Amino acid sequence: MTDPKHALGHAHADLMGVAFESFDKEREEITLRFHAPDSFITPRGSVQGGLVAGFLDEVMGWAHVWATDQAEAPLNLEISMSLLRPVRAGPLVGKGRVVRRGRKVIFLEGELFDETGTLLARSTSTAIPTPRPTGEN
Amino acid sequence: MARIYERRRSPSSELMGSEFVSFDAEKGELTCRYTPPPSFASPRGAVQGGLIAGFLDEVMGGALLAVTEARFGAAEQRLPLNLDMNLTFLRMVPMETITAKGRVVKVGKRVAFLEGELLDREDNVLARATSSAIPTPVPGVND
Repeated sequence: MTDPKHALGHAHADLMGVAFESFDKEREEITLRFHAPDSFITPRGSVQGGLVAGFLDEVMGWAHVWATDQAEAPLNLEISMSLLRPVRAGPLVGKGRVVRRGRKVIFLEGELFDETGTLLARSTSTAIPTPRPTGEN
Repeated sequence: MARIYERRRSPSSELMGSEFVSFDAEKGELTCRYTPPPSFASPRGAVQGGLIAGFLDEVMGGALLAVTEARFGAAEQRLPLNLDMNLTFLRMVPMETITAKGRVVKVGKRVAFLEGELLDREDNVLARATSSAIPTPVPGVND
């Protein structure tokens, strides 16, 4: 298994301040920490709704990567999300789970919390499993 | 304080290299261009799927601003507070300038329904979105 911190170190992951927290193999559930940057903020003073999907995609994707021992990554076909509360700049916790992992299609879900554990947003995704891309573009 | 959808208006739209192209009042459709910043790249060399929603939210929100201004006047401009967003990813979104179109499907007092799509240079649809949102006054616009 590669160093998880290194494995998370792509451009978009740096932007969102991603850090690995834990992975529950039995539940195929990953916990990541984020730091929402100031550049994501709208005139409302919270993270732009669309960009919230960036965090959710990240937790859902890494749940799949870890569930396959870093061999595969999801190629998203669809993401649906509900935005329950405003997401502020600063620390966040994300949880991603594999709901069903087939050979051709996988189903993922994700949740985003503030530091006190309040649920801010949730998502589901349908994706195609692909070999994990390694290129640093 | 008219036509604020024509210029960059927040850190998030600044980040995404937002540029106004046109607004068709009859169709209720706003067209913008975005240039993904290098920090949006995934290991696939394209924009990370979730962050694609950033462009779509931006153009759908701009469409609601433009439509509410055109129909109800500058004082009645509304910005969407998103309740949900559904995204379909048809093709990879390249790390180059893309065109985005946002439309207001319906706007009432309590809920707005929005849709949007991203297009590449050849007009291929890259991604689509729909959103339901609460229309709210634009924060900080009283001047």
